[in-house]
Amino acid sequence: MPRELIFVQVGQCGNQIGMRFWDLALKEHAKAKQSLLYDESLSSFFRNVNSKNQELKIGEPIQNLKARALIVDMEEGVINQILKSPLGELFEEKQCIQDVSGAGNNWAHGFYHYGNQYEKHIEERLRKTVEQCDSLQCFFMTHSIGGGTGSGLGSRILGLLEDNYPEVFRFTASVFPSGDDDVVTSPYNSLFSLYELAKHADCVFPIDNSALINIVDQIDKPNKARLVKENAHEGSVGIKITQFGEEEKRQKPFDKMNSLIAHLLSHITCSMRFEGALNVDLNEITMNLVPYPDLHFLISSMAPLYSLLDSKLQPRRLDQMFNDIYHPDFQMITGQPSLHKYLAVGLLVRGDVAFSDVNRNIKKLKDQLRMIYWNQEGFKYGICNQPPIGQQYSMLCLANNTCIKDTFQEMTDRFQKLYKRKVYVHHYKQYMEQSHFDETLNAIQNLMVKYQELELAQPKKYQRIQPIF
Amino acid sequence: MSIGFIQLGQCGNQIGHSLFDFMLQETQMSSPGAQALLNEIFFFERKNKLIAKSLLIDMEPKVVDRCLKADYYDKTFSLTKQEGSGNNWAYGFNNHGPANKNAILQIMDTLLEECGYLECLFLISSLAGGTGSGLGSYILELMSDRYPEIEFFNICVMPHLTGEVILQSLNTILTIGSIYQHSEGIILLQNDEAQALCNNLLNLKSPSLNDINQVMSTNLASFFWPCLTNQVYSTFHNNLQYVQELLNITNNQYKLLQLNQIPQLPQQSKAFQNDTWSALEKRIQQMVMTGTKEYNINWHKKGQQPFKQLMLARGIDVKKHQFNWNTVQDEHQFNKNEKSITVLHNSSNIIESLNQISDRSNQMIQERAYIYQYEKFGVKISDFQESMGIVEGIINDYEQLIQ
Repeated sequence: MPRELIFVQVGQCGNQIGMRFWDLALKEHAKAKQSLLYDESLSSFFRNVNSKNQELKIGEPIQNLKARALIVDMEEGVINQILKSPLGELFEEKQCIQDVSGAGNNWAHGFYHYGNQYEKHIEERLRKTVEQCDSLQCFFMTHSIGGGTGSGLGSRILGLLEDNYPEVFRFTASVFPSGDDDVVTSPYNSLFSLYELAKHADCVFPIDNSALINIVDQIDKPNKARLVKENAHEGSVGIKITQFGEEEKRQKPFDKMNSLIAHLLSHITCSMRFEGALNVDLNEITMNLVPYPDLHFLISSMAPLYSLLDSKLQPRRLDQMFNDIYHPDFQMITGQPSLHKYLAVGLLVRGDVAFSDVNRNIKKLKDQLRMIYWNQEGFKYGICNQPPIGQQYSMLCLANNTCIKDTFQEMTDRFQKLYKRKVYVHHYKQYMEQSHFDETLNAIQNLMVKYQELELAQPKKYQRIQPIF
Repeated sequence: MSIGFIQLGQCGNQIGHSLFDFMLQETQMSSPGAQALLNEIFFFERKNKLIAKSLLIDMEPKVVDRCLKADYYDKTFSLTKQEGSGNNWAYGFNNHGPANKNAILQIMDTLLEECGYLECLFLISSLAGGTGSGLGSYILELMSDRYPEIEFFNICVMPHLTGEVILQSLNTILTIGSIYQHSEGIILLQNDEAQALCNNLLNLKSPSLNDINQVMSTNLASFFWPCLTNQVYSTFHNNLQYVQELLNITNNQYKLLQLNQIPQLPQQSKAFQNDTWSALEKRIQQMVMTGTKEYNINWHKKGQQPFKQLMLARGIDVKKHQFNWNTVQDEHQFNKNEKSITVLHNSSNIIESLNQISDRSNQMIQERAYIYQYEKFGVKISDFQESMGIVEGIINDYEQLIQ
C-alpha cells in the first residue's frame, strides 16, 4: 500500500524535464534495491504490468514498469521522440494527450482553446490514472510558464486538478523565463501562469534558465569554478575535462540543465520512497514552509554540485555543504535571499549524515540568516538514508524567502512594457477579455504587497495570554 | 503489576523499540528472579513467544515496519496508515483520531484480552510532530474515558529549541493543553539534553538519532527497572506509589516530571568508574537543584530544592550508604555501571523551556502564521488561546511554588 505520485508533464520544456527525471528515477531505484521484485518504493512512481497488461501487485517480480504520468503536448515532435526513445516503454499511448499544431506561444490559446477542447479527455485520463493508485499523495507538474502549451494548458490542468481532486497536493516545478528570453510574448504568458499558480498550486518551485546555466557552468569549468578548484587535484582536472568534453558533444544543450531539475524532483520525493532517520513527507513540506496560503513559492538550492558524470572528486566536507547551500550560486532561481527575509527554511539531507550534525550546523548558521522575527527557529529538516546517484550525501534547501517578490516585480515590469502599448494583446483577445490583463496585474501586485509587508515586519511585543484558572 | 505502552508516531515508536531492546538486553545480566518479574510486568506470552505489552501506532508505515522486525512485537497490535499527519496537530486530532477510533479500540481490547490486565499505560510520543502529538492527544482522551481503571501517563519528547519542525511550538502548546487534564503525569524528555549528553559525556561527536534515542531509553529504563529491596523483589507497585506522591504538591496536581540519571559513561570507561556514593549523591542533587547537566554542574548556585523527588540508587554497597533524600536501594548494577543513581523529580527547572515555547507560539498566533493549516482541520484561534491559557496556568502554578 504505497503512496503514489502522478506526474503531469506539459509542453516541450515540461516533457524534456520529465524525460531526464524518469531516467534518473530508474537509475536510483535500480541502485537502491538489488532484488528484482516490485516493491513499495518503486510503486510511488511506477506501475507493474504483465504482457497482458494486467496490474501486478507489490512483491511480485518486475515485468513491465509503467510510469504514473500524464504526457501532454500540443505539438507532435517531443512526444514522438519520447515514445521512440528507450524510455518510451514506460509509457502507454493512452497516457499521451497530443495535438499537432502547438499553441503558438500564446497562453490564451493553450488555456482556452486547447483547454476547452481537451478538458473532458484530460479529466477522463486523469480519472483512470488516479484509479490505479491506492493512496495518491500528490500531483507533480513540470512545465515552463513562458510559452503557450506548458503555461496555458498547464495552468488549465492545474485548475482541473484542484476541482476534481481538491485534497491531493499539487506541486509544480515551473521554469520561469530569464531576462533574455527569446519568446516575445513570454512576459504575458508568464504573468498569466503566475496568477494561476498562485491560485491553484499548493507549492511552486520556481526555476529559471540563467540560474541553471550558472550552475552548469560551475560544474563544467573547473578552472573558474569556486568550489571545484578547492577539491580537484592535479590529475583529476585533466581527466575531468576530457570526460566532460566527449560527453558534452553527445548531450543536447538543455540536458544538463534538465538533469538538475530531475535531481530536484528526486530529492523532494526521496523521503517518501526510502527509509530515513527523520522522514519528511510531502504534506510536511507544505505544512511547515507555507505560513500563509498565498505565499507558497519556495526557492530551491542543492549542494554539492558535482558533475553528474564525475564522482572522482573528493567528497566535500559536510559543513562546507551547509555553508554552500545558502550561496546564490547554488540556487535554481536567480535571487538574493540573504538580502531579504526568510519566512521558513526546509533542509532535506540525503546520505549517512547524523542528526546532530544537521542540528549543529543549523545553530551555527542561524545568526547569519535574516529570519522573520516570529519564526527565528523556522527550520524544518529531514534525513533520508538513501544517498543520491554518484554522491555520498547531498542536501536540498527549500526556502520561503521574500526575495521572490523581486522576481515577480521584474516579471510585472516586462509585462507592463508590452501592455502599456497594447502590443500583441489582440492575439489574446481572440480567446479572452482584456479585463483579464488588469485582473492579473492586480492580483500579482497584491501578492507582492504581502511579501513586502513581511519583509518590513518589525518585532512586536505581544501580551501573553492570561492563565485559565 | 502490569505496565503497557502505546508507541505513537515516529519518535514514540523509535524510543519504545529502543526501550524494549535495552530492557531485554539488561535481563541477560540479571538473576532469573529479575527476568521472571520483568517478563511478567512488561511482556506476555502469545503462541509461545514473548510479546511486549505495547501498541504501535503511526500514520505512516516505515518506522513501525522496522519495529515489527523484532521478535517481541506482533503485527496484531499495530496500526499504520499511508499518509502521515504532516506535522499538523489538528490533522492528527480531528482527522486521524475519529477515522481510526474503532481500529484503535479494537487493538487495545485485543491487548487487554491477551495480556490479562494493565495497571497503567505510558503513551510515548514527541511534542513537535503531528501524529504523536495530535493523534496521541486524541487517543489519551479516548482511552482515559473508556478504561477508567487504567492509569494513563505520558512520556513526551521536547524537540531542539533551535528548531526541528517549524510548527513545533504550536503543536507543543496544543498537546500540553489537551493532555494535562487527562494524564496522571507527564515525563518530559529533551532532545537538547540528550544530545548534549552524547557530545560531552559519551564521546560521541556526531551522535545519530539512534544514539540520542538510546540515551533517552536507558534513562527511562532506569526508572522502570524493578528494584530489589530487602532480599525480596518488591513489586514495582512501590515505585509507582512514589510516583503518585510526586504528583501531589500542596494538595494540587502538578504533573510535569523530569528524569535524571548519572553517571553517563561510554562503555569502555565504565570499568574505571570509582565514584563514591556520597560523590554521586552530591552531584545528582546539585544537578537537580540547579537544573544543570552532569558535565557542567553549577556548584556556585544554591539551587532550588525539587518539590518532590524519587531517588533510585543501584550498585555495589548501596545499602551501606545513608542517603539524604528518600531513596530506594538495589544492589543490581544497572547498565554495567558499578554505581548509578536515577532521580525522577517534580521541580521548576522545566519552566524556562516552557516559557520559551509559550513565547514563540504566542508570536505565531498573533501573526496568524500557519493558523490556516490548523483551521482547515477544525482547530480555531479560540482553541489555541484556550491551550495557551492552560499552559500559562501551569507555568504560573509552578512559579508560585517557588516563592
